[in-house]
Amino acid sequence: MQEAIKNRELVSALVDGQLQGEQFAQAADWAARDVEGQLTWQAYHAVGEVLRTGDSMASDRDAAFMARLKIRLQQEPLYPRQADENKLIALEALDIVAGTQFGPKKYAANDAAYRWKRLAGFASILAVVAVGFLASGIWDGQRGAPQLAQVPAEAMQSNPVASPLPGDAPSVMIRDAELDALLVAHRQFGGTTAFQGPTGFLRNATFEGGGR
Amino acid sequence: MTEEPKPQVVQAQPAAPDNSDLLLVERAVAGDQEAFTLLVVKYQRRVQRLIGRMVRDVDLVEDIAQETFIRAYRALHQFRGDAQFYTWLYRIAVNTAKKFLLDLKRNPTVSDFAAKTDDEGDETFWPGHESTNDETPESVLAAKEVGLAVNAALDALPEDLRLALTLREMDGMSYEDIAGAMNCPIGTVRSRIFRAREAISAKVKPMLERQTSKRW
Repeated sequence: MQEAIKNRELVSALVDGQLQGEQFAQAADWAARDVEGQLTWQAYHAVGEVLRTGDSMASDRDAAFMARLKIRLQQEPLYPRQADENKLIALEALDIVAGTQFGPKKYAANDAAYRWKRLAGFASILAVVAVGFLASGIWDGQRGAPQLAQVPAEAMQSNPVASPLPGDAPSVMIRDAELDALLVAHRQFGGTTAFQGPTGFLRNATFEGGGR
Repeated sequence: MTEEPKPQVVQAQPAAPDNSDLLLVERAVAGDQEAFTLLVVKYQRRVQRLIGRMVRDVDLVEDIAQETFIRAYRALHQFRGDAQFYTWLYRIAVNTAKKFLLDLKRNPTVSDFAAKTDDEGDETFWPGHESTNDETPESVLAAKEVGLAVNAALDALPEDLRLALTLREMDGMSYEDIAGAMNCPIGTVRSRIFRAREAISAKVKPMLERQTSKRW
């Protein structure tokens, strides 16, 4: 009994901020952990509130409020925390106190899922870039691919072609329509030569003179 | 004609530096989460009253108050005691309320006081216990009962106890100043304030127990 009265007197002094050291620790422990201490702490503050404001806001919702808050506090990491985590929280706290941060919270319950979503988005972008790169390569390759014995329609007609040989008299090559047709029919054999590369241009070249 | 002695004028002094909040914060940061709940109980009313000036929805007021205390807990190690704990908490509460209102895209019912002030405001400013949405008549009645019980118990106190408590709670005087005003040792002041609180809380505790049948 005497112990309880002594504790309540200590809590009264704690409410007024008059305790230090051992007495502070004793009063804080009793007020925080003992059922009677909790009620005493609450009652003393309720009395002061009524005297200061003329009214009380004590409500039957208080218990639910504290219970809900306790659950949320239990989900919070306990102090002392890791140094790097402190750094992040400090940034958030500065934002909050400065009132400059109205964006989404830096800590959210779905942070882990959000990280996966960001990763998936990044992977999608990479996939699109890769497909685009391949597609452009194929397209470029088609543009630069050897023309295997392809003959333009107009080339099927017998047209004179200027000889590219320098120093030689301009020669005229008469296209052989039958040969062209044969080459088209056997295109698979006419694409490469001993050069091991596309040599379709050789088909239109001639080293013979104009007698041909 | 003898001159009557002038009554001693008691000047309202600012409260003595109170580092108990800082000590509780240090305990919480050291791993004692229960120490933080003491701060919550101490400031829950003031925070809810502050938020209630900006938001007229009891459920939303409670949500914002919850978020305020959670944010305060996360940033607790940042509190160095340079300012009063409530000043620090006040800013978190205001910014949290603004963020909630922005998120909800509501039209804040911000009073001129809450909109203009950038300070912690006047603790005694409270234009009556305005009923907000969803507040039951029972809870309003219970709050009024507590107020009436406190005032009745205060009136029934002996003069020295009543004066000591009112100088402390209403005028915010330190124990030293009260001792000077009442011409008694500080230990006597502490004892008188305690006895006054005991007498009043004896009337209040049963009501609080009914309201909050479960302690935290």
